[in-house]
Amino acid sequence: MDPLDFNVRERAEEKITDINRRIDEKLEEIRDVNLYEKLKLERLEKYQLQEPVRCMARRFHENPFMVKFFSIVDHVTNVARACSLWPMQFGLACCAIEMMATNASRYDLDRFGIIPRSTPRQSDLMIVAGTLSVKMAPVLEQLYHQMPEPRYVLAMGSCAVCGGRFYQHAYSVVKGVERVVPVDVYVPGCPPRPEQLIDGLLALHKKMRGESVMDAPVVHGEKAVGAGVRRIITPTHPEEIV
Amino acid sequence: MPEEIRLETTPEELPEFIQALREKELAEQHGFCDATAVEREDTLEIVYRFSLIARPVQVSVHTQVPKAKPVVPTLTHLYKGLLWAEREMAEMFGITFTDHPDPRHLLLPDDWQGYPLRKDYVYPLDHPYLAPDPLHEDPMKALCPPGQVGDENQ
Repeated sequence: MDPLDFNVRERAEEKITDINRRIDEKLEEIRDVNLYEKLKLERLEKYQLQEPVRCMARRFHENPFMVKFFSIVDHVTNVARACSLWPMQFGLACCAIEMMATNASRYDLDRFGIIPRSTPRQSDLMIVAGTLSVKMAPVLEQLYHQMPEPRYVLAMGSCAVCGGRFYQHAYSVVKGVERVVPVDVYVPGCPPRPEQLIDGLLALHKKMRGESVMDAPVVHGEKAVGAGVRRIITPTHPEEIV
Repeated sequence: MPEEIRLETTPEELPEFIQALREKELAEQHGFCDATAVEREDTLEIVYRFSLIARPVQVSVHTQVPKAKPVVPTLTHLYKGLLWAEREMAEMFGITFTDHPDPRHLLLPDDWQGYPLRKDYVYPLDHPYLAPDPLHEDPMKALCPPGQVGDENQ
């Protein structure tokens, strides 16, 4: 793939539609477990096409000089990203009060470079604080897709993690934000204290510092069912942090 | 304790009844408090509640509609506050309010099936957002524990 070719994205989209069509045809033909793995690889290939830089970097993973070079690039970009993580305000219920308290002067998220923004276009992180109802779920999904990549999601509180106390007998509460968007960090609690939210944000910092353009592409924008690879669950006690 | 007045009427003459009540008994300054529905054995009971401002008096108007065909004339031309209350009753109990100016869903999605606050409501187990967690060791048991609803609180 030539990075100077400006029609890369168009051709990639054509290829994606072609791959999707072939996958659908195959799915109708056979239903097999081994085929599922193969199709998953094809899906990964599809997302590689959406990330030309990552795809280009992965070509050089046998050249030690380029590996060293990209590791420095990774370090600089990761530190820059992690030190100015701008969350989008998404207060849905009482967890939003704890989120506001964390942003305020006593806990002061600004010292981590975290400044809340009111628009998804300027934010890297979505803190889903509170109960997600079925009517709100399409709005959450749309706001997630409006955020520029790389984007992260932090599920704050029991309701956002798994439905919480609305898991039983509730006809209108989504049982976990992970059914709508892929979640990076889970912060349980009802509501979690500001220290727990800061713990989750630091866990996200740690995860961001470990990312590399040489890695396999992250599947963005998929429904999160089964996307357990990106999962971090913050421990209740700080000693458990590995 | 406030004085409570209970009135009953039929759904056909409900608008005239409320209009007359408003012109005579509730002629002084009063407030429309609430409108809700209660499920009885064969009927749905709709309750409108009013209270006077100056005196401790509460007035409730009850009307019964059959469950098979719950149709009630709207009262939104008398009280604007009923716009949302009637929409909520319509989606939660399946009551049809004739001549309602905005008969959309209020709290539930537009493509919602069923009426959640009725006793015979079946939980949507095939809904992608509401199905029990397949990773749970016994999903159905976790979702619907034995015993009636509310037993765990007693």
